[in-house]
Amino acid sequence: MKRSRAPLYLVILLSVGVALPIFFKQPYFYYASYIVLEYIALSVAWNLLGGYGGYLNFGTSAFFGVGAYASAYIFNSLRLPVILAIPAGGAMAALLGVLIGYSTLRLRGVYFAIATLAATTLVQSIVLNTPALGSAVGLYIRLPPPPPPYGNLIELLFATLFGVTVVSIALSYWVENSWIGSGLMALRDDEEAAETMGVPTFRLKMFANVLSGFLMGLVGAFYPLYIAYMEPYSTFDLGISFNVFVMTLIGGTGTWQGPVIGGLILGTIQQAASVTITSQYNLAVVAAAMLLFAVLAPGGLKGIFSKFITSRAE
Amino acid sequence: MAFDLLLESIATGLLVGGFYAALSLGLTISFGLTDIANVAHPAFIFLGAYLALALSQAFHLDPIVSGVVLVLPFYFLGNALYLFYNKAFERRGESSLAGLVLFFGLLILLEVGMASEFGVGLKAIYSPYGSVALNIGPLSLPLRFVYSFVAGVAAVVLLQLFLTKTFQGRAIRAVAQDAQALSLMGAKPATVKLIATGVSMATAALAGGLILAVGPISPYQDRLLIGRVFAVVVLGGSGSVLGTLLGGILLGVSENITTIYLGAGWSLAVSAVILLAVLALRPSGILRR
Repeated sequence: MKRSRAPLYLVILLSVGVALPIFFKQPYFYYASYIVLEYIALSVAWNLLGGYGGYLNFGTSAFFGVGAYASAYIFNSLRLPVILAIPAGGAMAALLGVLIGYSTLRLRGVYFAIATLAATTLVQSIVLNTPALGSAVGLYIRLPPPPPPYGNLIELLFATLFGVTVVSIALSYWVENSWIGSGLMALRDDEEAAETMGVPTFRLKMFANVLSGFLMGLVGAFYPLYIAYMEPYSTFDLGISFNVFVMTLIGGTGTWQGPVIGGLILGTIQQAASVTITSQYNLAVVAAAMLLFAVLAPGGLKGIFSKFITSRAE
Repeated sequence: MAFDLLLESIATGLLVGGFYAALSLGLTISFGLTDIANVAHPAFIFLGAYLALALSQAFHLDPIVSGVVLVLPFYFLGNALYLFYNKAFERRGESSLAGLVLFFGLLILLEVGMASEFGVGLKAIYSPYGSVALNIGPLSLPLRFVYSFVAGVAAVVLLQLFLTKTFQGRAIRAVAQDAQALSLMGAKPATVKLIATGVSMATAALAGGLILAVGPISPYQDRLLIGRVFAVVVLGGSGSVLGTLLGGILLGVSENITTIYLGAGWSLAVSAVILLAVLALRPSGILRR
């Protein structure tokens, strides 16, 4: 693939996503696709630190939830424009990334993973005990009227989240092909050796953690508009974090395509399963798929594809 | 009056601390000593609790006795778990980080399995001491917490004796310090870890019995324990059994005092704050190994 064409593909893809809801009307399609897009974008964000750097974040729902609550508070309670609330959600989640990063990114990866679990509990407890954020009762969201040319709020949400997802993928492509990506992969393989060679490991981990947190918060910032009623148990659900890292692992970590493939396939299967079977086994299906992949195909789907392609080429 | 309340909450916190220590001991061994970050440990505790419930109902046993009965089967379950972990991850040279993913998957599978097998509602067992309190001076201590404290402390003492006095126990501590040197001394690290994972899982059976004795259980409650057990283990100095008891007591007392002054809504945040603070300020815990 030539690099010079990448911006062109980007513009084409973005216009397709923005234009689709204007011409193709099918509300259920957008409600289901929204969740799939959400998982693709979250997985792409997760991959920045988890895939390239090898630091597993088990607290995706903390970043997502902070973004969601920050944005809901700004446009719902303070009555400020939604357009301000969305980036503010991302910024708050980035701040969480800075806090967690400073306290735990110097430790071994396992401790970082556990710290992200604790951070999720802490943020959830804060929301549970803050009346302004609805406590355990939850928040009812005042939904704004859909601006033309979109006839429905979900169409607008689909179009904007589509844009955020494409931009996240582009960012991840850029990270992968820059010195930041190489540095992260070097420290994933051997942190001490990378440090000795002059790779600024802590700054790279911090950058990846904050950027990944920002993107997760940005995705979360749309969530109140989608769900219309928010409460802390489902917003900070461990299941979100679990889904995201499994989708990335099954798609294939450490490449920009992996989380896109994993999020698209597993997200779609989950949406289909919720309609046809029951949502109770959603997580179990994903967990079983993950155990199978972890044991039989550690490289994920991307690994299988590239193996297949290389063996064909030989 | 206010002083009495504080005194009673400290005393209850102390008892709860012994209970927390029993819940965390398995993780002290797996995470602290053998570098296996078993996040599914609380889920296995609940598996133990549900099996103890079935045993207690079938044979009219005390829940703690049922937990003790399950210790041996859980030891073998731990052996099997380690064999799988070793074959799928460790031998491939993958880090404990890859193992985390395996245990996370097990956690979800166990939860969904328990929810569909036993139902999502609360389940409890009647015990004659369930609502009896022990009165000492001004203090009124729930008997179920007194018993779980005694059982927790007994488990701590037994485990400490095992780790310091027996060959296998010393080998487990040695594998944490230098696996290569251990293999030069003629003990296989994999065999040592097989035993260690068995012992770790055996403590989950006992802990399950204690949880059932303390209160009603439901399938997704294990998530409330993940932060707590890791906080206790890290606070105690990852791998120190006596440190685990101390960490458990510190957490139990802090949670109870927090509940009095800030309300019960903040009790879960206590372990999260402790865990984050210890990791940031003193990652080696209060007692160094």
